[in-house]
Amino acid sequence: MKSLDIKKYPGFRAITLFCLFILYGPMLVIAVYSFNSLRSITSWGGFTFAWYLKAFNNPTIQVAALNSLFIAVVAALLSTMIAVSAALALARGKTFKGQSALFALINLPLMIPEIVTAVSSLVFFIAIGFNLGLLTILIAHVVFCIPFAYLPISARLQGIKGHFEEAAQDLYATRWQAFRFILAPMLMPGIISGLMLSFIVSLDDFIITNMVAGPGTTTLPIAIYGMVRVGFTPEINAISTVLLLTSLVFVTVSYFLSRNAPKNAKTKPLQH
Amino acid sequence: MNAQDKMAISIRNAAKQFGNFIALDNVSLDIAPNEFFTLLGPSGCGKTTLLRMIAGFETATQGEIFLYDEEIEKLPANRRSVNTVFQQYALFPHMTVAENVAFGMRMLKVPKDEITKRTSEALSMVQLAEFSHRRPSQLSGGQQQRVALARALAPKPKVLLLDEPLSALDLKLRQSMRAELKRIQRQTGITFVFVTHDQEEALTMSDRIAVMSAGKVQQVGTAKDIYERPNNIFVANFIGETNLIEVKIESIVKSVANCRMFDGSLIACTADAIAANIKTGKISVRPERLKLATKSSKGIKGVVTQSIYLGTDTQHIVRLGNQTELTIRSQNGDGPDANYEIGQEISVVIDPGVARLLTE
Repeated sequence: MKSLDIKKYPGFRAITLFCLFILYGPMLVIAVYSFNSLRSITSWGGFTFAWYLKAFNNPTIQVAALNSLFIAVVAALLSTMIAVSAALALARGKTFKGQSALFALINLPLMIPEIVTAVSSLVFFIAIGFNLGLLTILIAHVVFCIPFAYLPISARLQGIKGHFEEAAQDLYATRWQAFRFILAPMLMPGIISGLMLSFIVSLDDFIITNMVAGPGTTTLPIAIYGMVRVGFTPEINAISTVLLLTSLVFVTVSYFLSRNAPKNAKTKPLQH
Repeated sequence: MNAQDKMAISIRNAAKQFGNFIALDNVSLDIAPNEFFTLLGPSGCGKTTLLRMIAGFETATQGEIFLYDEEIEKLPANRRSVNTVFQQYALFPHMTVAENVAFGMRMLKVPKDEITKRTSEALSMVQLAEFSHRRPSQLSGGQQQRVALARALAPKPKVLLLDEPLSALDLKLRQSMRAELKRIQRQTGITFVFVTHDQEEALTMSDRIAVMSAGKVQQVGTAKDIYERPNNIFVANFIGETNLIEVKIESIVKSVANCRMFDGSLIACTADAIAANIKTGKISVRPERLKLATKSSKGIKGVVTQSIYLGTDTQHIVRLGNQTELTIRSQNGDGPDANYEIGQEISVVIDPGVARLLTE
């Protein structure tokens, strides 16, 4: 595909660098200035870990971080479990009418403006008289995490061609054993990828969380937002950098897992 | 049926419908212990459906399946003492070869040291002992095939089911695997039920063959039975090559029919596969059983339209007076016997007892 070598287009390098700079420049500035000993974000005063220490010792951030972690972990686990079941049901069950509509429905939350989900969730909880708090955040997070968990898992499942479950059952495995020993290990990269994506999506969410959190319950994004409104401190740089790094690690791992997926998913004979 | 001659598999009036499509139409079959039994038929004939019903992957719409007199039709696949070799092998990619072979025994809770022993036995039987720590993806197609075989044999099933296991291999490998399968079947004494659409495979390996078409069993018999004494036109056509000539039936006495050909001549043919009240039919004669003779000889008159030299044989196509084309194959020898030219008028000789009267 030499003729389509995009690197040969004039200005390609400059445009790419510019875009990458716009995308990642601000984050880089925040990350760098989180180590700045001055309060300023325009002048460099020397290297320090002080803002990290201060952030970690801030009780508001501590509570918010724990809430965020708890919600992200539980939401990731629950939504992934639901996503695995949904993916198995859709891929392995007999085809039925409305199957593609169901697929679209599962993934719809990805397309709906988040504010709409946020407001309708809030209205729903109030309508049924549910007390807003950690539990409502959790429920909302489980729901909007499902498509993020579902996509890598169903992609992985579609790559698994062949009668592996039948082979397992033929070799005296019960349906559960066939899943536990054969299908689950084969799906594992997809499952881990789904777990990580939903964990990150939950950890970073602001709009829906802010809406259904109720008074007094905070997560990290809400705490950061609150701090920025009161006045900027380098603590925010520090905590944002931690969030950024966490996301980066998870997304990277998730990427590598799903990239390796199709390679060992099949045992096609070499000769055909 | 008494206790001494229990059948390994006994299928009674099995039927399977997918919506409006009848995949299996009232099939009954008995498969004896230690038999290499083949289900042979074109694709869509129901052979794979039948195999999957024995394995427990499909439920019968009606009918019963017995495994050594035990009704298994209602049992789930994991509680039937039969194992399957799948067409695409379905080896577990995340497990080593040895783990694959051990899986069935692990599920059966066989003691660990016995699993180890039987795993290496099974792998040496298929000559893959040194590959036990490899992953399936590191093996060639033929090797994967043999792992699948070892995996299915290791739990010592009462019956082994093979679903076109050789179709993904190239020709050379397929031929050597035939001998290998046959050897393993004799060595283990396990009943094999083998599904294939390849008649050569069926003829070379099987003790008995069930020829299937359109969801029905057309004929069950040894390779010789179905080749030399086909029951109907489908079987005669499907197994090997044959010539079919329409005839009118004059009389049938003791399974010998007197049939009148289009040219008015009479021919005696075997008619054990024919209902008594039938008036017309077709006689089937294999190409190697027909003989060519000079125009002046007694026989059906025709014109040679093709002559193809095939090494051991020469094949002639002869057009008869009613436009029927016959294929005649004669062995090449030292003599000038097979030397007929295109356009030459000749006689086709059908020796007594060679023709077989059949209907659809």
